[in-house]
Amino acid sequence: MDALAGTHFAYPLPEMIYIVSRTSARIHTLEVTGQRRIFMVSVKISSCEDDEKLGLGIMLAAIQIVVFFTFIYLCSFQASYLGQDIFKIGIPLSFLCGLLVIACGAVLTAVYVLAANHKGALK
Amino acid sequence: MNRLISFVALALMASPGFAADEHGRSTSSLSVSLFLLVIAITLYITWWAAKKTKTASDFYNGGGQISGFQNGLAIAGDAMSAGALLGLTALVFTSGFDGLIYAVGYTTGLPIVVFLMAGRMRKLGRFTFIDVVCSQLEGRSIRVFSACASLIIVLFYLVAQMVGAGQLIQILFGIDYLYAILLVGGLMVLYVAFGGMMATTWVQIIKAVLMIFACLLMSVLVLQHTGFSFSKLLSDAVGVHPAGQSILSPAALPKDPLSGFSLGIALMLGTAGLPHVLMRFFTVPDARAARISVLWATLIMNSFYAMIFIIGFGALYLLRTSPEFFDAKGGLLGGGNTAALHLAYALGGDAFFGFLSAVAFATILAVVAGLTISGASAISHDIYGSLFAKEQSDDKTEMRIMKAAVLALGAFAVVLGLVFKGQNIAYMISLAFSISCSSTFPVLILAMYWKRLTATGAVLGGSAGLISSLVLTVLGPSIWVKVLGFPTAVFSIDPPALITVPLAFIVCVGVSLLGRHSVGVPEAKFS
Repeated sequence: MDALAGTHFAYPLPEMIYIVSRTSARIHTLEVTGQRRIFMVSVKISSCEDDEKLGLGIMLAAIQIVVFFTFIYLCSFQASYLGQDIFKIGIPLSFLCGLLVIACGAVLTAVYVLAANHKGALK
Repeated sequence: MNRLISFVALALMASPGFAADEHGRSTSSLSVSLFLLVIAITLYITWWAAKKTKTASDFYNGGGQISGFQNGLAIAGDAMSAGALLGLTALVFTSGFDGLIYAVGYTTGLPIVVFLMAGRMRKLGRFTFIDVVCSQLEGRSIRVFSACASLIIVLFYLVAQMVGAGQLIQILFGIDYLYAILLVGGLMVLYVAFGGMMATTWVQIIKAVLMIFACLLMSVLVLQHTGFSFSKLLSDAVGVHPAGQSILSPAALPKDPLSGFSLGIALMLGTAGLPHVLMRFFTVPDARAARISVLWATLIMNSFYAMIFIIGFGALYLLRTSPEFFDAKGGLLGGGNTAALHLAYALGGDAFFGFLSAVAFATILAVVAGLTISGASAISHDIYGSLFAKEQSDDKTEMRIMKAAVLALGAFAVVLGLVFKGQNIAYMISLAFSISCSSTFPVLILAMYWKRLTATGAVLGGSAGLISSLVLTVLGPSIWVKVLGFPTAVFSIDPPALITVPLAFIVCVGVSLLGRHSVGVPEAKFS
């Protein structure tokens, strides 16, 4: 079915057009030529599960990129600040930031996988 | 098959190998027994997997029947290479926090793969990511290009692993470099040619479990020295390192921020384009299992890299307080890369040293096998299977080609391993990552998400990324200065990803848009 994605079809239908699709199908133009009505329909059939999660995927990827490159930015331009023991726990900020990036990747992945796989159960 | 295995066992016993060792710690009988045990176990797995490997599908993806958790372990195993454990520990041992930036960077690629690629790749491809690209683009040129890019990445990675393996085995078990390389080459050909993806995956799984266990044990033992306080470990480390307090904050990146950002891009997107990692998404039954496998892989891998924080600083502190690990010139015995192994000895004596050596050896075997199967499949499935075979190539022929490709790759890797003996090959991994993030990654992501990408655009864009990575790396500090000996680099950003990744995307998109106008749009018919 994927081969049809993005293709334009002409449907010479008399009165009404029903489009059964799991995702989206739009009527682009509607022309009336004589007795026949021609609908130009852009049928978009692609697998839905993934596309539903694509927004989430892009959002999480953006978070991951921002978090990691903030870390690189801090390492490049705020090195002396990173060396300080801000929280007075004997562990400088640099280490906490590094561990935070590592933890962030794991948490975001868990969020995405649990959301995309709905039913949960890790087998 | 059986005869071959017993031949290898015999050859091993008779090998002039286990002689006295002039490079580091004397080879204990325990290390040697564990070393032989590792070989025996992996050969047993190969024999078992060979019985189950009948079709081309069994070969390339273990029949698609590896479970999500098992595959997760294998993906994590691919990431936890000997280079990662020994190299990163060595980096932290010498320069402190700077080494940990790499550890952090390596964890950022896989989440991107699962968010944007894993599910869709599963849907569009069969055995390799190249199937995915070709399902969206027409023509043979794109398949040939993707296969060549894969092969180049695999070869750089493979040679780096082979040279590292030769040196390491020489130090660990006192086997001569030549025999060590031949041994690794021979074993990897055996695993892949007979056991296919099934054997490769199981070798990787066993190694991943051993590796995590060893790192966990090492972290606990390090922390035991400082009363389970990480802050005390850090303050003790500051006390013994000549650079003092500055080992706790980044030192290299502030001097060259452009290279820092470039490194960030290469580490993150490079992982997302490595053919041997992407290939693992086809070994599970469906997209759902593919996602579960990445979740497990991420959890295991991120724990491993977090443990490098403890192991690295443990090595930095504990080794620097014991002069017995250093030679007369103040260098670490057996070279910098042995920091983790010396640490194991300091923590658990001969037994732990032997165990970690065996794990490191298993790791090398598992990683080279993974690389080999991915390179061989590019040859047999993508180049031969799609181009030369008449219509539908039959399974038997394709498997024969596969085995021949494995043998050829193995021989080639051994030769290159000998050619590059004793050279500084650190740039090879960096090259593999640069090429991966600026050629396979852009082509794959655009093919999956941008409908207007054309085959010509993909080939030209991917080639632009590949060639610019090669040229700029040669002109950069890691080859121009460190290998060729020129005083200053022609191009100073190292790795060059900051330039090459945007370049690849721009060429892909530009050429596709320019080339589109000739394609007829069906709308014209209806007006």
